[in-house]
Amino acid sequence: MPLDVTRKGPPPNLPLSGGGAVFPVARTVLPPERGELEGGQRPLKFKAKFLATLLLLAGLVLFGNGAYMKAKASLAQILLAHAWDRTLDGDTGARPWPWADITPAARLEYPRLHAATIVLDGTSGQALAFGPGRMHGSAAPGQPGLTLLAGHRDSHFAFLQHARPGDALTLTGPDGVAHSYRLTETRIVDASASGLIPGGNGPATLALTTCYPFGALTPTPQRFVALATLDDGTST
Amino acid sequence: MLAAVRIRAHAPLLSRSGQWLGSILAAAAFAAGAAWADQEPRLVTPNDATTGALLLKSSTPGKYIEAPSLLTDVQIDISGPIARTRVTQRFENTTDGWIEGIYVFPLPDESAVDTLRMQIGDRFIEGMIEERQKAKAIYEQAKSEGRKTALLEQERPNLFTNSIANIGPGETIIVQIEYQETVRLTDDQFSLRFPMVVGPRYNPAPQILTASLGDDGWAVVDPVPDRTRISPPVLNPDLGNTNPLTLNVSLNAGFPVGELESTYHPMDVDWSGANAATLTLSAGSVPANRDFELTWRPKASHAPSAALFRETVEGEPYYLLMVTPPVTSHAAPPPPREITFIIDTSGSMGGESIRQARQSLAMAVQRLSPGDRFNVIEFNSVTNALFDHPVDATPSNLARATRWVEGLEATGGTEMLPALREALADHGNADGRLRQVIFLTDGAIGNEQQLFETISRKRKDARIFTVGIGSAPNSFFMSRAAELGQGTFTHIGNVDEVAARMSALFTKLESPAITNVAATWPDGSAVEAWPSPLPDVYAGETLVIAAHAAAKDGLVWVSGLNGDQPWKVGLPLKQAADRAGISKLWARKKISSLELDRARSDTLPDLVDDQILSVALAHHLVSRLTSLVAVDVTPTRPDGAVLDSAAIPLNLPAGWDFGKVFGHDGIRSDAPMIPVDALALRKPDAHGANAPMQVERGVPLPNTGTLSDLKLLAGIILVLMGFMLKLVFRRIRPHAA
Repeated sequence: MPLDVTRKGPPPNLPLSGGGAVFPVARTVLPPERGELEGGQRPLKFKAKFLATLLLLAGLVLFGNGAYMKAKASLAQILLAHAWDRTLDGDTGARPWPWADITPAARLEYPRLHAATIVLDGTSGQALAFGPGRMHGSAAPGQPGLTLLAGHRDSHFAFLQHARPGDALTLTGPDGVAHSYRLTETRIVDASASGLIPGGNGPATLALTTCYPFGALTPTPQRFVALATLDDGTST
Repeated sequence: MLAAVRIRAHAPLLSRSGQWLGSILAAAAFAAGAAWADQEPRLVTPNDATTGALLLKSSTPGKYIEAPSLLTDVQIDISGPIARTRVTQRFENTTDGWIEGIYVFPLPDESAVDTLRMQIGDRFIEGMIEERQKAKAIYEQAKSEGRKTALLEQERPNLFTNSIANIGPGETIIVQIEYQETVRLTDDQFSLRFPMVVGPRYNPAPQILTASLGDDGWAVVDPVPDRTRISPPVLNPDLGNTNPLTLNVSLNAGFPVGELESTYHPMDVDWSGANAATLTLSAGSVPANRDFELTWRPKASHAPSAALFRETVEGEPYYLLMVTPPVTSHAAPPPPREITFIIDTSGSMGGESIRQARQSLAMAVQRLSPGDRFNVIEFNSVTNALFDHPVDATPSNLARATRWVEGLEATGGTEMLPALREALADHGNADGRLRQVIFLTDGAIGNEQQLFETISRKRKDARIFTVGIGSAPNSFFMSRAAELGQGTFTHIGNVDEVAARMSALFTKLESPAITNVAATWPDGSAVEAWPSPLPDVYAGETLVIAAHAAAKDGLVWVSGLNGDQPWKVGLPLKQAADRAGISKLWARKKISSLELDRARSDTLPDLVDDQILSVALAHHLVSRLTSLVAVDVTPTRPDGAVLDSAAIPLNLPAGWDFGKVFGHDGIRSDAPMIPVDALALRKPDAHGANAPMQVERGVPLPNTGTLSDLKLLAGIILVLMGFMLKLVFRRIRPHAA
């Protein structure tokens, strides 16, 4: 069952096709014979001007919406970082903003790619807009079993496209203990047949998943998975 | 050199819908291999493979190893209400090396696994129940000493793994697992299911991993990195997607059987009297690609309305009561009800979940009858009720509700308590109506205990039905809330299921029921009975109670209210029929109830664990804390030299070879033997801890691609187009003027 939790935006086909229809109208206006179009030009011009404004507005709204999603993703991380500090101070369940439905669960660091992000508890579509999520049932950082983190390919987990086996990662739990992992493998799987089951009693393993391919503009059924195993010798 | 491979031959994921009374995975999977040092593994190329062979990628690029063969035999013995299933799996090590096999198999939630048996030659070795860690230690010890050993562990309440170590070259190992369960009884029809279908029921289409097709188009398996329990499942529809399985049923119904039917597989029936029959598959063996289901009905007028069975263990009686109350289904319309819908519109419900919830709710509202009263409450950070108090289900009210529901969006926090209080509040205008609360949520909350307390304290006569939305709802909260509210928990995991699941729920809610059900045991004798509290019994349903009571004599009374008429039936304990296995069913129910308690915040997990452990050990059951382990007394892996190397190979990369697939027992050797839908190659870790990996299909991964880039791009294009249009006009203007 493909999990479709991303909030679907308005269909992007708004006035794209309408825009195509506008040009012929404008073009008929282009080679005007002087003085001849006095009567018909004003309404035509008015119509085209109106359409141009409409296009501009629709474009701005669409752009704004896309930018808002990006901004939300970045801003939430700042607020989450504060909530994370409070969590480390012992305030379990600290919320990044008062009405938030999310709480920070861990901090993920990827030194080689200069990436660091606060991981949320849970992987609902709404939560993932603010940060990568730790799937329910996952093992706690450094504990035996599988810890599964999922994040957006176009924001928090965009850095995964440069991930290479052998890279070092650090996952810090709410207790402040940093656990070192080493990336062992990357692979591409089908979202509904990942073979990944959070938890269990196996060796401590970290799975970072995001949508694949990275450059795609629309949701896809493939997922990119990076697997990392716990490096013995935990640093604090 | 040593390595291990592990194959899941066939692991039907448990259906989200129903009760899997009567089912185990037949074709389980198979396992890990280890070849000793200096033995060249036999590698093949895809062109060398025989029909139906499944190939595993080897460490040599372009070379593959054929998967080993596995045969499954299933014997189901039904005696009255209890079914005991024995699954025998036979694995042949066709390699030149010593190997360790591990396979995974799902079982129904309520199955009690109590037996593990290993056959070596003509000797049987029985598994002992031990604390999980200790069992593991015993297994590892025996493994390193070169003895044959088997270990059966619970990974999840419905998922088990079996490991077998030290299978010699060319040896055949037979492992038997036994479990029991109660048969399902609805509308006088008994049924038992044995699942064989790969994959979740709601999505039977085979899927192939995009990354798992090799250069030659063969489905091959990606190696799984060291020390992980995960592995990529592979379903290869072109190659043998079947598993030969033989199945026999011995039925002793306890009453004259009218209809007897195998839903999907033709069976030969051999009757021995009116009550008993033996069934065998007409085809001999079948591919394991379709669930087995057996249903039977008593002859008309022989339908039992009550049954009482007993098992005495160490002088202590255990009882199993089955009562089908005479729920009057007179043609009268269903009793008027007061229904309150609560819909969770918190942020976690965003996306697919809220769509499912809206659709479910819209359907539910349409099902109300004119005499009903209803209200709809939504909650996120704040609680909003559609009406101040429940209103009549008039067309205009219904229309208003439908419109309101359509406009609900998911956002904000999850403050569930006020909504629950509001729904349970008695507005004093129920007029004797049946009060039902239908709660649609993903249960993503942390204050379960507070909510449970509110339900227990405030609900009075209201019934609470929880509807779990989304792929991973908090099922502990939902099932416990429904249990406390004497209702049921319905899980909707997929939009396609909304119509069917909600319709089933509503049919149930509309049918008359026996309420206030209670069981009274002879004068105050101590009793521990499950389920607790007893649920309402709807038309056609049978109440099943498992009890451990001190009383051996006297009457146990089961009573309730049939509409407003009291109903009562007494069963003489002395006349209980003896049936083996009741104590185990009781223990299994107790363990699952304790597991529920453990998740609550007011219990001490360690204390509950102690209780679970003692019940599981006393009743010889596999649980989260106990495993079955069997060890052969004599080491069979030869001489000291090999034993020495046993410790070393665990660190080395491996070559291994499972030889060709071949047939057994009259099954065509060219028949596809391995119904493998999931494979994994596994290397033992540095500590030699061959922790079994999960070889499930895995959890669905969330969608992590947003439309933000697309929107940005489309937005820029539109803005540019708009500017161009404007420019064009600027240019025209001077000409026009």
